Amino acid sequence: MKILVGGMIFTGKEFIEGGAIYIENGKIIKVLKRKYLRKEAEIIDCSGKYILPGLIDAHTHIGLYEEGAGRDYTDGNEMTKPVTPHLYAIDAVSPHDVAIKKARENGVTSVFVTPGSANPIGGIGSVIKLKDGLPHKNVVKKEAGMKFAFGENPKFVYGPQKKMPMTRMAIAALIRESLYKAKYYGEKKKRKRDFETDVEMEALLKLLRREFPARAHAHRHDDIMTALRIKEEFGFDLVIEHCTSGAKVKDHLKGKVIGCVVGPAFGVSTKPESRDISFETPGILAKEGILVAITSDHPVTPLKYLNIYAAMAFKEGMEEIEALKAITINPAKILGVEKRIGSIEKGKDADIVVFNRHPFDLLARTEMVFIDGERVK
Amino acid sequence: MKVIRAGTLLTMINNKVLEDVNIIIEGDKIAEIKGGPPPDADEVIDARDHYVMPSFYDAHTHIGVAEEGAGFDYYDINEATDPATPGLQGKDAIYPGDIGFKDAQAAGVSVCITGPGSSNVIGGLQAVIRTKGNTVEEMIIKEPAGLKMSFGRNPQFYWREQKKFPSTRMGVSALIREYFEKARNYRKKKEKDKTGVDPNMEALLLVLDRKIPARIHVANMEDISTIFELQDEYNIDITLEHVTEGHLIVDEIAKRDIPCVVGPFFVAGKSLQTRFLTARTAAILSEKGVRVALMTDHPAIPIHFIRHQAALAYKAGMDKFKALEAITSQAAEIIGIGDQYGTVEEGKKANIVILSDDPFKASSRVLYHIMEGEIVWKES
Amino acid sequence: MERIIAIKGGTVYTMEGKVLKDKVIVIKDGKIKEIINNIPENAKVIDAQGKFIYPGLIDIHTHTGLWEEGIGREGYDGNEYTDPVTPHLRALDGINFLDRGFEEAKANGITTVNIMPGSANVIGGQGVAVKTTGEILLNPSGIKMALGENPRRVYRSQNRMPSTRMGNAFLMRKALIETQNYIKKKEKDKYLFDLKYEALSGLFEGKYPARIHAHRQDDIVTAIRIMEEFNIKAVIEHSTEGHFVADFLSKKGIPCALGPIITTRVKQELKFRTPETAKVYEEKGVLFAFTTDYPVIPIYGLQLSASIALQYGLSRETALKAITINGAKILGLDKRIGSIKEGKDADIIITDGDILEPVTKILHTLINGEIVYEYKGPESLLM
Repeated sequence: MKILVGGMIFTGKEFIEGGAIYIENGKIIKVLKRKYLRKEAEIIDCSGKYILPGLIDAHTHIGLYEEGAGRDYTDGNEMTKPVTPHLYAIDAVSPHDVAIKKARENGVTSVFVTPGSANPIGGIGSVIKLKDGLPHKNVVKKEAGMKFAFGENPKFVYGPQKKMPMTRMAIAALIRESLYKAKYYGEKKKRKRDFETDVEMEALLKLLRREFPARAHAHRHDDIMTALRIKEEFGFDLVIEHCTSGAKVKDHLKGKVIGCVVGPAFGVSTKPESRDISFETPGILAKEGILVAITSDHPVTPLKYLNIYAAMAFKEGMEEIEALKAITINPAKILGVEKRIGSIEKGKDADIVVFNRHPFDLLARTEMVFIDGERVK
Repeated sequence: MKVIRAGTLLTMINNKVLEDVNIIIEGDKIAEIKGGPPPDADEVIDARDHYVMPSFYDAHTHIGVAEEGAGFDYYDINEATDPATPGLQGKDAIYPGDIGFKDAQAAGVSVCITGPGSSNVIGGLQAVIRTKGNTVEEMIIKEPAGLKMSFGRNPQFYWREQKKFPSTRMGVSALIREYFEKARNYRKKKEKDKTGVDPNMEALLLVLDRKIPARIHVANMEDISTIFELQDEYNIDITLEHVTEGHLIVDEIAKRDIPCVVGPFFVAGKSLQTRFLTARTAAILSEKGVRVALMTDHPAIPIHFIRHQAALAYKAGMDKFKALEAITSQAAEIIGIGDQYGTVEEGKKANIVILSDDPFKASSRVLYHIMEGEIVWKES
Repeated sequence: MERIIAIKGGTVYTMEGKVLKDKVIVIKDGKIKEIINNIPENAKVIDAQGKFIYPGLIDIHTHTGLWEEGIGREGYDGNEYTDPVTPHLRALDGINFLDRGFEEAKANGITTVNIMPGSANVIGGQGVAVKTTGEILLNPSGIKMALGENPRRVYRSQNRMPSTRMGNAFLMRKALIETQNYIKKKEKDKYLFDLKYEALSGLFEGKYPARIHAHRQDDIVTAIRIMEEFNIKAVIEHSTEGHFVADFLSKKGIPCALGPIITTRVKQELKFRTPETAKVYEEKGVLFAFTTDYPVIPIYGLQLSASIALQYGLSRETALKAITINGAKILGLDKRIGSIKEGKDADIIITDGDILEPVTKILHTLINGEIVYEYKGPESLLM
């Protein structure tokens, strides 16, 4: 058993000062607010430190675009046909990506790894822990979302190939077409009439049955609205990724989406659809009661600086506690894994990070990182 | 009846070495192995100062299908017009006049498995053949002996250049799932409709019904891991070929007891995807109890250097007997003919090679190569 | 570097005719000072009792660092497929000296490599000879040229000359004629300068040889024919069908970089590749060194090539020369490297067995008297 004693704990919900966290067999078995009971345990003194749940990024392509690997190792986008619902990002995650270790040592313990945004329907993403070894073995939830993409990216992948989609209209049409096919497939399956299993249709059926949400890449307000419109037609669960112009349509988002995964904002807008790029967006959406997660979109911006992106959101007006939630419990909820990770609570996995200063302090460093109760830094 | 008077006999049965024995060959089989004076026979070969062992088995080649020395036009190994061509049969492309076969005979290689290459995700059916014969029918020992499948750089880069699916790792595994699902549907339909026989689906059913293994060309850990997922999803038999990063995932391979055909140890440069390539892979896998065979991947490395593959594996730390097994008994077993081939044992086929010296010595030459009782090569 | 190193004992293959036992090789300031019976004072001793000692191995035809290991196309810098005649390109400008290939060379006993551009171009550029620590020995070491299938295949697909063997030869001659024109023009015009012709001028001045890639016998003969027309010294690279024209090569005194002898024979011009070529060269008196053409085969293939050639009738003596002193002679560096002799560089390897056995491991590699590789168990093998 290990006991982390003292310091300022952010549990994911609230702050506890001078408390204690009990860890055994990879789980958090107790969280106390005051003194700790002496037991046969390894006592880890955390006075003066800041303790957080292991940070979570709900939108990355880690291992798909291996750091430093160059053009020969780009596996995140199947740019040969626009609708590929049955692809699994996890089949392509390289365990050799040095970014995994770098992120882990900076406190990020779990991520959602997903196909890129070349395809209107890109495939299935998984939640994995950033441990060494095979990603397949480090899975928290294999099917945690299906990547959709609206806006400029699909247009500029397929348009030059003289293939659909070349316009925003076509992106929406392709998605609708696929979902109708899946609905029809579902009906045939129920009636067992003239029925042959199809892996693509099975994947879409899971989406329609709300086994996981659609994770819709949409920067601009019109693309966000298109995503919402299609969601209304078919009834699946929706998360908006990037949500760059989310402030413009916040009233439409409220109550209609599971949440928004906002970012990356640490960069210069390179395309018209991301002109509204800003660290103000997460705060604005959070004030409306929308569940907000902050993302690096690694490798677009480095995963290891996740706490810094939350700090920037805090700087630009997001409440401190909301900014902290946006990199801990909120992404866990959006990913549907909040029963296991995202907060320091009894029964959850012992994924914990100890900073030497407040995580929003630019000079903060991680001193200890635990995944499943084991110290990985 | 032939008799070989063997000075040192490496039987390749559990490290058993016999000295000064007579190997009695009747027809195409080894009838008896015993000491004492040699019995009367039509032919007696005196190998009392030499090493006798099973002839060699190459567990991964494209011999005959990729004709040597004829230029790229004669490279018949990849029907790269469609990423999934399970119904192709390697045996239909074997050219018995390929110079590789003569080299194999002279080098003591009796048997190899051959078939399609690795441009296609699902390449086609493979055949186990003897390295001598005028027609394919004379050469075939067992077919189909496996279904060739490929992950990683070869299929990915090829289809990416063609701008066709699959161009990513995700796409490769998705394609395999698509086809296995189609085969399952086909199986259901077949029960009612006898008029819809599909040779591509039939080939896939052989794997789904576990009649033949999928022999999967793979280099990287994440692909090996994906293959394990597929193995669990579809309950199929597999072998891993090349398995370049196998030494990084050895425990899982050992736990699943998946046979590995490792090599060749002579590839041209290490790409990004083979950056962890090392001749130590065979040693590390073998130490953990994984069944390991070696390969030349002829014509990538000409087939007569199979013995040197084993010497390099031994130099890199593989147990000497295991290294020799990897080109004899273990190789025969992995390609599916271990019941009749691979060791010098009573009742097995008389596939024997006589070497002037220890098989790993530089100066050791093939003196005799006997294939199913017949002398196919003799040093003049 | 004042230090004195003494390698004690073992069997020493000096490559100077003698095999010595139980001697002490004394190294001072990176050179072989003397070979005596006693260990001098203040010497750091390397115990080689029971081991075998050879000069550091030399591979005269590689692309080490020019085709990098373990990265993708970003690391391919050996073939400038945009112009078939590029004598002004220098291999030195494309080599990554921190590439793993150099570590692998040291770990496998190779102390000097000659690095040249590839064979896509009829005239590819200038090679450089370096120690595998990066020290430059000779720059340029030669002009790489190529005949046969490669240039004509590369440029045929671009719809430009050369697309035939005639085209290969024509471009080679044309470049040399133009160089002669340039040399004459320079006598009158002091300010004339052309990087391409300057490079080729070196051939006419005898500063370095033409290193010509040729597999098939007709390509070998064409190469020599052209070089004789211009009175230029040549070395034939690969010389795969050399055994068919060995008398010709011997009579003309053409040295060859032979190999790689253990690789695929898919190209038609490789159909007759055989390790027996080495034996034929020995019989006919052709000076040759083995080569791996690294990374076409791994660099430890140098040792393996010599080993395999024994099986095909090559004598042990020549096999050893072909991986040491012969390469030094062909490069013109035999005053410094290639054998264990007083005054030469202390480039030495210590092995656990006969280097001509495929299973022999390198225990120590010394370059200029410094240990640059030491065997520490199977994990330290770079194979």
